[in-house]
Amino acid sequence: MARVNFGRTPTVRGYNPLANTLKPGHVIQMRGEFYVVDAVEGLTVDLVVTAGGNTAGTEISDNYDSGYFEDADLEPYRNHLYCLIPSLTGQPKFITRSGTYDGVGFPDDTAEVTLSGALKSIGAASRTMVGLISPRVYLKHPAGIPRWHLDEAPENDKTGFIDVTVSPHEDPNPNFAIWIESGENQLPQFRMVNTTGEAIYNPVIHLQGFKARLKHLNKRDIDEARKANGGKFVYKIIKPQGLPHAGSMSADYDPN
Amino acid sequence: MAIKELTKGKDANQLARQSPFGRPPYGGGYESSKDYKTGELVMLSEGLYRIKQAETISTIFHIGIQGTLTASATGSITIDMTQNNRRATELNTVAKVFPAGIQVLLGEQGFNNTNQIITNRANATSSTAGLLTITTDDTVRTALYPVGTECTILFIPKNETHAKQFLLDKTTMSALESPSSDTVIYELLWGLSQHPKYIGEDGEITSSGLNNATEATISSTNYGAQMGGTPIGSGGVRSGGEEAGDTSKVITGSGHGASGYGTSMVKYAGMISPSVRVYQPESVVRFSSDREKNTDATISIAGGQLNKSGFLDASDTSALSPNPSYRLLTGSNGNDGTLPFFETLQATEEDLHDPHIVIIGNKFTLVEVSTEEVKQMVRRSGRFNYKIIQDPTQAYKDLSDGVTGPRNGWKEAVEATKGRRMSFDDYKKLTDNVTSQTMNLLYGTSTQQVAKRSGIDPRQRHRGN
Repeated sequence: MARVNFGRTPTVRGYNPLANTLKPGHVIQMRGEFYVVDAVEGLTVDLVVTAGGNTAGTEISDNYDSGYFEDADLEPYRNHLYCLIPSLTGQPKFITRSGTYDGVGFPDDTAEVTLSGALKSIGAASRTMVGLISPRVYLKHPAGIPRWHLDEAPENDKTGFIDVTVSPHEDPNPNFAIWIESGENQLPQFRMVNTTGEAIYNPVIHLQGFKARLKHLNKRDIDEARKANGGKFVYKIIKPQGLPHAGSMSADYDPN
Repeated sequence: MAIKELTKGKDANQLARQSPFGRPPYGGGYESSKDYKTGELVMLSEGLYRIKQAETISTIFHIGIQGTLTASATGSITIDMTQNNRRATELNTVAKVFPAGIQVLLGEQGFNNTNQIITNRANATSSTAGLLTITTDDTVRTALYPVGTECTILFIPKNETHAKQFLLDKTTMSALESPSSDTVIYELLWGLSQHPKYIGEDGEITSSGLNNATEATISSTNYGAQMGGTPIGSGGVRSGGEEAGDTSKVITGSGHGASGYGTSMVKYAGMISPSVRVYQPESVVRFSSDREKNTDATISIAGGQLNKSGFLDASDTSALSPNPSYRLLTGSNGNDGTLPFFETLQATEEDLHDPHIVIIGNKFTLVEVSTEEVKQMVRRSGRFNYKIIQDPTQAYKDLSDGVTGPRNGWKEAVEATKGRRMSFDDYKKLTDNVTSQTMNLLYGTSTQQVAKRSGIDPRQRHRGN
């Protein structure tokens, strides 16, 4: 089977809420240094999940687990910064005409329904779509640091994931945006797990957002900017690494 | 009473039809973010300007298969669909079906030139040499559209398999570039048309098309009374058989997935689109990651990707609500060259009817702000505020990492700084790879300041001082 994209829902506006996060001319403070934003451009990346045995990048079966993987192509140039929202496409989920719903895929409804009794409706002779499903995606960023988790459950995988309910491709959730700096240890590590009960035909992590080119400001630049602005120096603070992490040592203990 | 004589508009058959499927019924509306407003100051790479006027503009750019006419007669045309990018061999090796009812736009899109729309009369199959003959009930104006005329087929046939996806040549609408560089600027938001996607009655998820021609046969008794109120699958068209107790009737034309898809089509289907990659200027890929620019792969496996970055579809930016992250600016560069080009990838494994790009945006007229006016503003309020309009040819063309050398290589940098001593700061500025807007922002815009850092003030040719 090929990889199949079932498309977006038409019922949401679906615009990128990061459009005005950074603009040319903005000053940011990152890791204690100041930078002026030189240029900003939209950016989109599709990561087909091919790790963990899915080498062809086609569908993934139920209970598939890619393991954590990283893509070196996500590393920006030294003077660039990426801001990307991970999201997933939805796959239609059906209940069969007999009422079952686990592992039904896309039921074949061509089989004739025999009506043996009077007044029996044949209207029910079809599957019913009930929603959209997707795999879960976990993130470690920077490398090795679990994100989006509860403090006391950093690596138990009960928390810290997104799926199509949390961040759909057509309307990515900006709360889950990540900043990617240059440097291999700044690469995000993703993991895709399919616990939907269905094979998933579009195992792709969509990343939408923007990239910004930065110019480092030295002390003289900052002094001049402050002087030109009547003593004020306005900047945004960006913390690419997220919150300090409680540590993953405790996660090594697993009674199972 | 004076009668005002109005210019006649273009005939309807010179205009490509509107979206064949309309707008999705439940989607949110367009939300424009006007970043630049009348009266505001804006910094271009050429200097400081004030926005005099702003007006909204809209257009549609059809991104079906472009070709040229190899035969032109009143009732038929033959189109050569050969693409030059060598990634569309599918069109030249596999016979493709072009259904009756699709349309062909004769003539170039954009500008104020004449076009004609003709409608395909019957299903047509292309040759394996990439030639397609369309017959039509319209009268082709052969004198206006002879052999060699550019045309656009408002249709893209499906790719047979994922591994056989094909890429159409870059196209553009030359009217997208404003008529006067650096005094009229277009700010364009664009979104892709959405095309309904169905799942077949038999559960097939690729190449389901828009219609399932198979018949659902009912051979049991006692269904008629129920049929009156409960159509089979809600999507069928019944040909007789309403009477209770009738037997062996056939329910024909069970369309749209047949079993339950007819009631509310979009409820049961996703909306797909081709993928589009943008170039601006023509050789520079936009919206792509640094490492994925110009690194297309050869598709040979089922799940392969031509490129993991830079291709956008209707999930990224739709005609319903163009995504402001992918806005395009044209005319903002003194040397022009800001015309965007669009490259379409067919990887959906579905026929796409009239794929198009809806372009909605604003045009601005600008007037240059003189040095005297700047001084006056500073005198009055101590400072002045301005917004930055990016120059696409400066802002996005870099393929450099900013470490190994200047933006356009050492040759150009050495020539530009010839005869001047270079300090470490000069070296850093050269390799920092920033736009002239940022240099203006950080180091000033006065004539002396600009001349000091670049040797040449590009505004001189406008200001004559």
